[in-house]
Amino acid sequence: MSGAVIGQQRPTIGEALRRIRLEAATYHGVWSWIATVDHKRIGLMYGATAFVFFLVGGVEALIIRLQLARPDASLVDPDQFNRLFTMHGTTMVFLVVMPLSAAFFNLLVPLMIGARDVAFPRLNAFSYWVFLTGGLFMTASFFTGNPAGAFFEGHLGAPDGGWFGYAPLTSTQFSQGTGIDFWAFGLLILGVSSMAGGFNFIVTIINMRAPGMTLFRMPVFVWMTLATSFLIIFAMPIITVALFQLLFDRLFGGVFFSVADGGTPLLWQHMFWLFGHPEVYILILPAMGIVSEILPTFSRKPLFGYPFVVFSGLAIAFMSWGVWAHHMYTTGLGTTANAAFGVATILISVPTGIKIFNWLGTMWGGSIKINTPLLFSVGFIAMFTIGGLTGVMHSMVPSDYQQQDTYFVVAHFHQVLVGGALFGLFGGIYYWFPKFSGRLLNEKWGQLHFWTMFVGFNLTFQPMMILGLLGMPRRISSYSDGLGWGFWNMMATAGAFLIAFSVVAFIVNVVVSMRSRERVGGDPWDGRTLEWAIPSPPPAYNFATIPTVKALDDFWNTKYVENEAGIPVPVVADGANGDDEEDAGHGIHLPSPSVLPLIAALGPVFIATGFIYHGNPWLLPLIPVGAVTTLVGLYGWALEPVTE
Amino acid sequence: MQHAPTIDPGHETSTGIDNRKLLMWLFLASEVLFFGGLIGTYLLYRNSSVAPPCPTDCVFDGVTYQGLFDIPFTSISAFVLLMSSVTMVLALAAIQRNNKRGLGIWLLATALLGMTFLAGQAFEFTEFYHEGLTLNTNLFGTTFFVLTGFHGAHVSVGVLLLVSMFIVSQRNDWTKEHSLNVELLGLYWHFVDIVWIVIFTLVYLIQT
Amino acid sequence: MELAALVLATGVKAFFQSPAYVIGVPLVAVGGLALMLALTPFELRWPAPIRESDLPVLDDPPEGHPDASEYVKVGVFLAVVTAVEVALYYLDLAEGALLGLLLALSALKFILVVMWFMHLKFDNRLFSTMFTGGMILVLALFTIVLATLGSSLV
Repeated sequence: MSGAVIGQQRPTIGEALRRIRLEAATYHGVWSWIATVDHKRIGLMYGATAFVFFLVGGVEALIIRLQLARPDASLVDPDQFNRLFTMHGTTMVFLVVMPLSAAFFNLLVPLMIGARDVAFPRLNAFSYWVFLTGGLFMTASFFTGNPAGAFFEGHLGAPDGGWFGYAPLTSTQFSQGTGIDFWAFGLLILGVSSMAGGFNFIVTIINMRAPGMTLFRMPVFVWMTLATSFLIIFAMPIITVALFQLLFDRLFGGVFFSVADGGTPLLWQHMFWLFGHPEVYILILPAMGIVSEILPTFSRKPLFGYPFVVFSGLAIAFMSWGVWAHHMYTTGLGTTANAAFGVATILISVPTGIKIFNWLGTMWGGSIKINTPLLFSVGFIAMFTIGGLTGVMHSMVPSDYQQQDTYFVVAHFHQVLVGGALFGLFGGIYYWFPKFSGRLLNEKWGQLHFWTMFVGFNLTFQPMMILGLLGMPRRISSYSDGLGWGFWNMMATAGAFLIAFSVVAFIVNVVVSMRSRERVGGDPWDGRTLEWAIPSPPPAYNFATIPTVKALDDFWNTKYVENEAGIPVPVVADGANGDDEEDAGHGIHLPSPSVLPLIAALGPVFIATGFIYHGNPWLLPLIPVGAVTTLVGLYGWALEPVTE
Repeated sequence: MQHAPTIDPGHETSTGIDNRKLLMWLFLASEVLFFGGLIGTYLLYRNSSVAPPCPTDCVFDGVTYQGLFDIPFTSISAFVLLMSSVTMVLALAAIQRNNKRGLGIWLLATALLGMTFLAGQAFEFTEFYHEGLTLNTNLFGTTFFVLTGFHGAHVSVGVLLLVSMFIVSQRNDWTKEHSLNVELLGLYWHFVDIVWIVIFTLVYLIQT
Repeated sequence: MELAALVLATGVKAFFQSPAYVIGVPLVAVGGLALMLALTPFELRWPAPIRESDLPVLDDPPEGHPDASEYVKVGVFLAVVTAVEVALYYLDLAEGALLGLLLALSALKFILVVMWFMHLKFDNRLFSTMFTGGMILVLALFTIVLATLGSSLV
């Protein structure tokens, strides 16, 4: 069916717009990115966007560190300080580490399981656009002014309740202005994005595997994606409920967390950490998966104890549901609850330990090639171990009573999130960069990046351990001289700037490497998994012919056989890149590009803005406008043919 | 709805399960946590209100306030929603036998029953409002309106989808090849129904 | 028009000082555009001709699905159970007994709908695993939450 019989009349507006749309449907330049449903492009957009947010969150961190470098500083006032650390935490968790992990899911999962794309390519595009709009919405709160509500009046309007927004600090009484509203709606919108991604990757991994790719032949990274996705789809609804409750309290006078009306703020803490603790593992499991891919490649050995690594990952995901109250020891849960949650928390270190020993076992006796991806992975193991051990310290109730709300806690979770998750993710960037750009990242700049980051990291966060033990509380905007905290704080600030330097080195590295003329083939590292079997960068259809998988590390097995001594020797006729037939790509049906996911993704931001300013008759219509936009986007999406 | 939004339709999935059906079940599993959170909050705050009115008769400062719940009325509402599940599944049975006309009739019937339920809810909300219960009166008001309101929103989305599916199916040549669409909408609709079964029992019938 | 009035009355400066306008007005514009852009495909596809299917109506449901009459039987049973529930509510039963009966009957309804109407009785085990997984998870979590806050589920 086509609308060809329109006549020779001047086109109607609808007709003209449709022509523009069809024009756009040929998708050149920017349009080809806007309308893309290709998992690789979406992954790259996820990565680039998250990196920009990383710089934003990093600048926030640097301001915080400058303020705390010396006693009695007054670079920012306490109110601005609250907003900065709230946004630093929120940005780094929801706009950096989660989407960076999502970038890797997108880039790698279909390639690793031998699929042409994810199960729902357009839902995937929708996830990205919702993430982008939600992230911009959240960051826009900086400019909304507070509490007078004027647009950027010289100080920040961002949320001020801490990244976990404890009630009643988030109530209208203690947080005037719109910061918390932006925060809550922002998290709701980002939740939609994460959940859509979670559903998509579960279906992809369960249903889109190449023939012979049984569950226990999947790379560990795919397993970790599956576990993370399940955590996301079960944890996000809980925080969704809590955020709705908060918004009802703030916008419409509900009494969910109002003590005067018989409510309890502890409900928020429970709901938040019911989500928040699985969230911690949502952040770290993908990095663990990345490290489990890098180490075997550069040790030239299979992953030591593959089933143990997989099962311990699943065990961590499962047990993450039983430890949330260890964030709440000091709220008076009672000794039974504290003891039970303490034991559960200690137990979760067992599967974590298993993983660490398996990674060490992988490197043991391997022919190790030291380069940047490996350095980041080894750095990950070391830093994550320290972070894990300090975590065990927190699990002891009496010990935690002393550490609660001190810099020791700050040091602990940065140890696992920066030293753990971020090191892993950077390792992943160095490892898979050639796959998607066709160029290696420069090794000299890479090493500079790693070593400055490693030293800077330890310089920043080990002093915080000491500060915590000296009794310095979290979230204070200044401290008096004579408490003995000045020296360690100065050291931490110096370290923070060293980290900033290392990030600059990384950016330079990307620029330098992208300008280089040298190209690499499909398999620069002598890799083990399927993504290395295809050219770099991969063609739109990924695999000219869908591979048939016969074993774990199948690609490696097509390149090497073991001799009698168990040492791998190359197969003589190397057929690694031999499947590029002349007419590759013909007869492969790929989903057509579409702008409808983007349109559907625009709606939530409108609805949120409309609700935040619902007292304003001019902006109230934003709610129906947003609802109709999303609805129209979704209907168009449902009715639009997939291939044209 | 007409077209499976999955890549490469000819490609068999690894498990033989349809991608969209798997997606729908995952979504429902995740919705369980969403409604679990809302119902859990209601149960936590049951009988915690420090001001009238209450769901059942209660006393504040020596004054007895009459309870708001009207069990016969809500039973009829619950019954209507339950019966809409039956009509929904009959719609599926119809299209599985290539009966497009039957599909249309049962889809419309389901949508009408859903709208009846929504009308009942609107009536109930107005009634409560006139008796002095608002979102900010007390914990009962806040938790009750938010819980049942979110359920009502889910029913509304369902009604919208039912009407859309009615239009699309009748304007196009739907056969048993399209029955998966009906089945997926049915799953959502039945889920909304079982949530109400739980709410009706825990919120309305059980008063401790 | 209110916007025009605002600009006229207080000058452009006031407009830029209000975050509501600075964020809101561009959103309205973008929203309108997106709406028009999105509505265009409907011109193509909505007015499809009404066509009667020439396929014969089949007598039997597909494999793995029960017959329509089975559904009706389940539906009648569900109606009866609801009636019993309401009757119980008005009977003067001991509180514990009433509680137990009501919970059991509602669980029965729940299971019937899930098993028959949502086909979990006949369908892939994966679906029931995920769904019951979610149920068990939420029950466990909120039992503990309510217990630590000094309350219970029923």
